[in-house]
Amino acid sequence: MALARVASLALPFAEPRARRVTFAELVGEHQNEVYGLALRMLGERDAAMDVTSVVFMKVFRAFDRYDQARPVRPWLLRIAVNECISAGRVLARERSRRLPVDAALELPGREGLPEEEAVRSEDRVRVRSAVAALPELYRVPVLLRYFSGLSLEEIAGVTGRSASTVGVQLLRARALLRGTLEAAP
Amino acid sequence: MTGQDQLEEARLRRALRLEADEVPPRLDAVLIAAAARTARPTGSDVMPVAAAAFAAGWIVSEMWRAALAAVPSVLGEGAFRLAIDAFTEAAIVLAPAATLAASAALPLTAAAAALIAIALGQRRTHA
Repeated sequence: MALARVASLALPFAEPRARRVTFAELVGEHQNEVYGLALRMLGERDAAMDVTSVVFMKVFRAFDRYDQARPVRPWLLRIAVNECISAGRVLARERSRRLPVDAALELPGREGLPEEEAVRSEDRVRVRSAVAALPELYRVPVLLRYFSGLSLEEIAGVTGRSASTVGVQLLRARALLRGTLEAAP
Repeated sequence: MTGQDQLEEARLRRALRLEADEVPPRLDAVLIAAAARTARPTGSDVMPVAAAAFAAGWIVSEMWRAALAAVPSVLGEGAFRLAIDAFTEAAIVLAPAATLAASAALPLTAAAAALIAIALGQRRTHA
């Protein structure tokens, strides 16, 4: 069945460079970005993996309706962000019954690391914790900007807000992060 | 953008990027496509559910109709008329009170605030 289905997976998607890619290529090219976005949004590897699978299932199903003249990445990220928000709300309810948010952030251990790397790792932990504690309204643009590297206009396209609103949200988010990081010991 | 902002942005990018030990295993596009096809509700899935819901609704509505038609004969015409009359009398008495309760949110709040203010004033006077 698998080999027979491979041929049907050769689904064309429009890229910014007008390159047509298959569904399998799309998954290969974007799975790390979708997974990383979900991991930074949710803080749990299993949940991030589930969200990644669901996102690509939705992408597969929506293929017929997708306008192939438009770039695929913003569309994919829009689905991913919406899925992360839904999963995040469910997860937040579960976490409130289970354990504090900090404990749920999966971060590499420091054991056996050289001093310089340990300090860097500690800084990553603090920044990730601060980003995870941001309200959803600010966390989404922060991740799209500093994880996915999107421009303000591209974030506006993904979130459905204006570029100026996104700019203001990023300013506020950075101010909140600065406050949190300065207050932390 | 200030140097401080640039430093902050670089720190954010560094902290948020996916580390080598976080990279997920490769997803199998064939399996995802197969799961997407399996999980999607099709017309053949939806039709029996819709038919069952329609049939259940029809059965319940018919049961209600039959039950309501049978009430007078079970209770007796007199008892049924008495129950209807009592219900009507109660509705006539309760309707103005219900209207008042529904529309008097603001006056009731104001009255409650006035009562609390009076009570607090009296406590201060006695203190």
